[in-house]
Amino acid sequence: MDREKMARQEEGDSRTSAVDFRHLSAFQRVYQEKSYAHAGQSIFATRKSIVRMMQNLERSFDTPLFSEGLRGELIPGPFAERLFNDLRFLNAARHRMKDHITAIHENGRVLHVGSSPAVFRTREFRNLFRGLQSLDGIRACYSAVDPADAGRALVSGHCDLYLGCQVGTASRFVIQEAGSISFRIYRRGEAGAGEPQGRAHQVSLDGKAPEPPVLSEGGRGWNHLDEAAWLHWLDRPEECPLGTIIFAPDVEMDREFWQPEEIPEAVAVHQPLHASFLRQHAYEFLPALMSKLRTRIPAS
Amino acid sequence: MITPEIRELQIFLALVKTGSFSAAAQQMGVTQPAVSAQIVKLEQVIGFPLFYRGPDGTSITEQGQALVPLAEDIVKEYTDLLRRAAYWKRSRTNQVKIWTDGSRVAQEVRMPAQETGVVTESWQEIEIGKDWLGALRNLEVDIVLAGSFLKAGDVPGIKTVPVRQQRGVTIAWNPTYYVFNPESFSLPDAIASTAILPAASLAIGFREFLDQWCRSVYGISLEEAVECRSESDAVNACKLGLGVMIFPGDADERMKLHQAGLRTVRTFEFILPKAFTFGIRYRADEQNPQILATVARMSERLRKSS
Repeated sequence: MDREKMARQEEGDSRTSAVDFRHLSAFQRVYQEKSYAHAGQSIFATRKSIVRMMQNLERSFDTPLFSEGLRGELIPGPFAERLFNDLRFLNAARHRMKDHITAIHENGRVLHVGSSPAVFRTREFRNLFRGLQSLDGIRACYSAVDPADAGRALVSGHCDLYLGCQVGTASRFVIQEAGSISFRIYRRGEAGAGEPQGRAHQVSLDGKAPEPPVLSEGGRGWNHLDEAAWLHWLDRPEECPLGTIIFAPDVEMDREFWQPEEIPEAVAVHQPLHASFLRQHAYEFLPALMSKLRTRIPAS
Repeated sequence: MITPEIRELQIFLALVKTGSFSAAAQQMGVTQPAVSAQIVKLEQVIGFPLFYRGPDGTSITEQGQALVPLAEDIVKEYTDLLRRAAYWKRSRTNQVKIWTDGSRVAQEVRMPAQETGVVTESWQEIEIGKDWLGALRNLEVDIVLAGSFLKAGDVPGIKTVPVRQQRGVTIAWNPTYYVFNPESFSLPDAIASTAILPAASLAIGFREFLDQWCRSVYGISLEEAVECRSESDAVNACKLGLGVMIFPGDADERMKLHQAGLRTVRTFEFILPKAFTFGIRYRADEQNPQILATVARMSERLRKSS
């Protein structure tokens, strides 16, 4: 271990933090411009900071880089000549990475949009998702995420943007309103004469739902229907008893089985839909994307 | 778009290699939050996530995986640049960097810097697992004094000044612990015990030869072997009865095995006439006069001593 440390120390004279890409790029500018001031101008840095960077490099390599000529121009020393020549291999490798990253940006970055399966079925979610799919630079794809796991999915990176009705409070997330899901009343046919009247059910999304309107039929109160049971009836409506009434989000429903009912405009039947993403997310476009989504929200 | 900085790429590769933020931090000699912050910064610079972070550990994203060879290229070029810079600095300041194996002759030839006039020599023993041939090629070191078996040390671009060339293989044991009859000796009997072998820095290519020979000729594999970095370690291990020593060339002559109370037998002498070479190795295209002069001086000194 001691030997290793010694060896590292021995060869580590030049392996200091000063020999980073920022310093090496500045060196190349100075070499090309033959002037600290011109080099500074071309990379938007002051002459003073360029001079300091060259001094750091000289200290790291333990050798002078430039000397001043009779007319004030900088003359590269033998080490600077060699360094500039040798930097072409490193520059080529850096360019390859830059090109690769640019290609990923140009081809569109994958945006994993997560939501609960129930929110996924809503018309509002599908409109938003279609909107995301139509944007350049993004390749939106869907991941089913349980609302209880939304935070973990965002932190782990398995989901980039979560759309749901719950509003978290954690400071590491940016949470903004992205739309609003309308709720409607659906009737599953009429119970036959002498048959028991179906029950009235209220569906919530991620545990949230607007206050349901009072039913015209007196004496029928709303019962809670969990999301899984609602999704089951959506897929197999024939299993839902006749005469059932559901207060549920606006989704594509089979009109052969379900008859939507108009709700008076005075009754609030919207549930806000929120989008959440990690504050420190790698996608720099997410805040702008949220602004685009927000412009779609009705002014009401 | 700004391209990533070298430190971020080094930490990225450490995390890829270790698969854990804490292990990467340990490898890089920084704290775990520092690694985490550097990775977040790198992801923001390049504009896409590189890792999935879960309670069970970290896994790389598909896009992150595609970036690994590119990052490795950059880090390699950067390291090479620094090595070349260090080489120029040594040339300018008349320094010569020398690595040696753990042989007695290499230890004897080490001479104090003041004896060599203007040149300052920096000596170091070859680190465990270090590829000294690669280190010579990429300017990490200027001269290497090491042993090699058969053609293992003969590679393009590296020149060898042979100091000793010896035939066959020597097998040695402590008669207090092992009873072998030198008249009717068989190698399979010896390798049934723990084998004391030279590490690759002492005789590059020997372990591979012995493994292959045992497999193909006797149909057995070297189950238990102790690899020693220095000849004195090997002699001590053999004296303590930890195993049977199998070393290339005339190990008795080099390591004075009889003086240590060990019994020996030579084998492969006829089929491997130039089995072991101890030599001075340097870059074939070396032009630094100080390095060439040091090689000449060292060669002369070794020739006299042998």
